[in-house]
Amino acid sequence: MAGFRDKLARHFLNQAEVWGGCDLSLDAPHVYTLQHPVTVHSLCPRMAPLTTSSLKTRGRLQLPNSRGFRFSIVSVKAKGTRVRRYSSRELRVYSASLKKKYTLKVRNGLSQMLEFPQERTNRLKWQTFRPNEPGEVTLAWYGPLIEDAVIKLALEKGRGTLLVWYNSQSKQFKTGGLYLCRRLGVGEKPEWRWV
Amino acid sequence: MAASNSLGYIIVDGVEGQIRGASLVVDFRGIPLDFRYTDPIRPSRLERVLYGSALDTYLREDLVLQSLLGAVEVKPQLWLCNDLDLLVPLRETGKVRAAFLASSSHAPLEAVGNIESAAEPNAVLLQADAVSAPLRVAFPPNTKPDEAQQAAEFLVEAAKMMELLEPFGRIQKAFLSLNED
Repeated sequence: MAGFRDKLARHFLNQAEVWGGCDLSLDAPHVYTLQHPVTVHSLCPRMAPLTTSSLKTRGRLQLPNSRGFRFSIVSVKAKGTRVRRYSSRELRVYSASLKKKYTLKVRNGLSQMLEFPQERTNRLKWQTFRPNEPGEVTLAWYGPLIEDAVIKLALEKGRGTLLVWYNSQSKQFKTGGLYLCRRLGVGEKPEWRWV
Repeated sequence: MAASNSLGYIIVDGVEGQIRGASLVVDFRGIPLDFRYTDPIRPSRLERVLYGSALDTYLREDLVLQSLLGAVEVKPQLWLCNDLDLLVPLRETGKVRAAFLASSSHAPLEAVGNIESAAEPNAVLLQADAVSAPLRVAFPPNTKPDEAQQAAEFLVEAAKMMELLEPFGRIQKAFLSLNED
């Protein structure tokens, strides 16, 4: 009878009975706990971390500057203690040996440096004065130079610079400049002129 | 020994995995009074990995710079460097005035000795002579204005007799020469 009423209702009234309250019996979810406790092994049991206070007492801590705190590499040196550091390949590093490795030798090279010439670039474009004589063009100006202290001059043609060797014992300080000029015409050679 | 009218140039160079440094003290004519250089230091790859950027700072500032400044016998009145990172440690270690010096592409200022503020903090443009573009000069933080002014006047005085940036190039040439040896 109920089925017949349902069919009539669906046919004439567009009604359909909706069944609810299904008797679903779902199992409660299982909650698993970690069965295996995680153990932490210390690789360097003898290594004590250096704190800022301990660094301060050793005088190794640099005060903060514009780039923040900086710790000198010397601070983490373990003197007399073998500090082992492990990488994935079980490589051992003995940081105590770093200080010995970075001893630096400073050499005196004054005698070699005295043999090096000074270099002057062509600054003609900045120089307002030109010693142009009729029929002459100025190619370059080199300066400032101490004319009376010059031992040797050489023009490096590739770069257009002038190499200058001074007498290092000279007491002269009077400055000047050196122009490179050339007369217009075939076969004319450039000439130097102190001003 | 302190030399009057002298400039000190210092370079700490890091190329091809090695660090080395040199200092050159010259008189106002550019004639060398003192030249020191260090043997190159080559930290291993492992050391670079272990110590990271701290290693570079340590080698440049604590080791090379301090060793050079300690070895120099003729003390200049002004230290010059062309690396801004060296400026503060140079001032702190050198115990004398220090400045960073570099070229600029700025148009010439009106007169020799003129100073104009540069874009960077603590930096100025200085017209050191009449035959070049103004130089970019930077001073360590907290430099007093009168101290900076004195240093600028000192540079202008030196520029009457020498090209102020030239000694940096001479040091680099010396490095090349030492490499060949």
